[in-house]
Amino acid sequence: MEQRKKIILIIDDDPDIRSAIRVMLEQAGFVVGEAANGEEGLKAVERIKPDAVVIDLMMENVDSGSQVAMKLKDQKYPGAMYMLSSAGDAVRYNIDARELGLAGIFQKPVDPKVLISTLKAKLGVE
Amino acid sequence: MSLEKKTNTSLLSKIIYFLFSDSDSSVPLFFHSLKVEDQLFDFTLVRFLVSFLIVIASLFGRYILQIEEINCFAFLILALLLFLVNCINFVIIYPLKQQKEKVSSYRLLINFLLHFSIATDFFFLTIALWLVGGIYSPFQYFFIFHVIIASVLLKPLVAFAYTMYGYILFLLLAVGTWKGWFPAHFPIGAVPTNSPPSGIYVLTVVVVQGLLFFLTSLLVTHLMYFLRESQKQLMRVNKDLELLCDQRKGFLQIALHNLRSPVSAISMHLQNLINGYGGEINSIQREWVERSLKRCDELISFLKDLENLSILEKADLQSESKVFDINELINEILEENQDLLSNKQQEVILELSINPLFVNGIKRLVKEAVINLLTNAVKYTPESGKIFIRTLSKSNKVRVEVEDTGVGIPESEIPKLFKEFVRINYNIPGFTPPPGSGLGLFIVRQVVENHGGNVYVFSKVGKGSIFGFELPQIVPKE
Repeated sequence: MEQRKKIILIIDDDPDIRSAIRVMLEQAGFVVGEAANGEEGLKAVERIKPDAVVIDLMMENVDSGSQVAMKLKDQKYPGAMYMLSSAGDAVRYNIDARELGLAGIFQKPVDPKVLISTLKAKLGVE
Repeated sequence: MSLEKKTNTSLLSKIIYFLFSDSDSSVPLFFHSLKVEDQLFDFTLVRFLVSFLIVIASLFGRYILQIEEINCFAFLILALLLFLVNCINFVIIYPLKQQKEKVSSYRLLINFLLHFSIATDFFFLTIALWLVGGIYSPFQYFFIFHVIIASVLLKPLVAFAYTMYGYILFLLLAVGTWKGWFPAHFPIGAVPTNSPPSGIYVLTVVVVQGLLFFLTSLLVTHLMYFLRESQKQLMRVNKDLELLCDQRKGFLQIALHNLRSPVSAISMHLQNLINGYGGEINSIQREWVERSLKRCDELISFLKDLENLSILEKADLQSESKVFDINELINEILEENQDLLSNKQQEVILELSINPLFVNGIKRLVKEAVINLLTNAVKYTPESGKIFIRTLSKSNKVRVEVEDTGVGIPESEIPKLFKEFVRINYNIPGFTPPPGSGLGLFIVRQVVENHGGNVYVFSKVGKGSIFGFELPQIVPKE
């Protein structure tokens, strides 16, 4: 029986970053959803029920990525949450991955091999 | 930057401004100078010494130099009075000096003490002068010394008032001695003669001393006025520079943010191209994309280091420091940086101490320092090499070491490490150093030294390197 394709949601306000990650994930066999800000992202989570979300730390507001992660954690979101952080941002805003319930933080620019292997391992995709 | 308004001011307005300007004594004269309370405290200590010296000098004059006219008893009384008045000053000024938060009543008290001290000093000096020959006395030049002190500490107009007060006291002494209003003391030896001064002599001394008093006061107040004005200007410029520095930091942060996002997007699209996600590319295209990607990586690494430097500049160690376990921090770093470590299939061997090792500091900065060491180890260690991460406690210090089996560093280059913008000359055939900004190890050193620790390195070409740092260990209370 064929395994259901895993759904990944990318929440990032930069369309070029979203498009680059989409390409990486789709060629690895994931189904990809996109949201351009935190509010849209939270609605998309309810709608498409992704297996994992990749949230950009710095979006319309400073540190808004961690606020999205905190809300998802409060809503008992069952999937895996990853943060996308530009160099230095995670340090500047003192992001505590454990406190936010993150499965990990990817530094921009994201290495496709690392992104895919990490997500596959986490979601149990062969 | 504030610009000075250039206006044509008349001589009169300049004089009025000079006399009434608010160049109050609370403005320190120079950046290294003392404030008025500290100056007052120092003068109080000097006055104790003076009262002691009065006693010694009078006894010396009377019993060693055998000057019989010296009235030791009167000098003793004078020294005692000076000592007692000074005790009052000391009792008030000492606790005030210790106070960190100055209230307005404090400033009022300081001003009172300042005026009280200067006024009594002039008075005691006149008495002392009277006891040692009046206008014959060589000690009359101490008046000039007091005029200088008043001119240094006070506003010009107040300084002139004290100069006038001192001059009136001197005038009274001179005329009083001449007219015989009070008994004369002419200790031969300390003064050349014991015959009363003539009217001409008194007039000459009074005129000469008057000129000396006022010219000295004018010169010193002028000098102090210009010094205080320069000081104010320096303080203004300093404030402007601080503002500019803050603006520069803000601009740098915006510039870094605006640069990082597009560069990251370019880099990720280039990686997609190389990986063939957009279709096959030929070897020439691949080479060009790889070159572009390499330059992107260099730029990203440089931006990251600049970002870290700016974070380091803004961090407030005192308010942000917390006690944390370094072993826990290492585990966090490993969890969060799997991408970094899995890149070259290197074997990471953890050798963490069994017991938790606590340090006090800003966790996110120490974390960045460890990540920098780890990134370097990954960069310089070949594929399938080994990287050891070690923590240990030694002599009340917590040590964190990252050892690699990389190329190693030539001995001659080791002193250059941990300095700004340094690129190491490896001189190893066939080895091209990976790109870097030359700031990574500098940041590690800055973080560690700001936390009261130090960095170290051991390296051997062909064998590898150990980069580490130590921080003061915190032993939690039971």
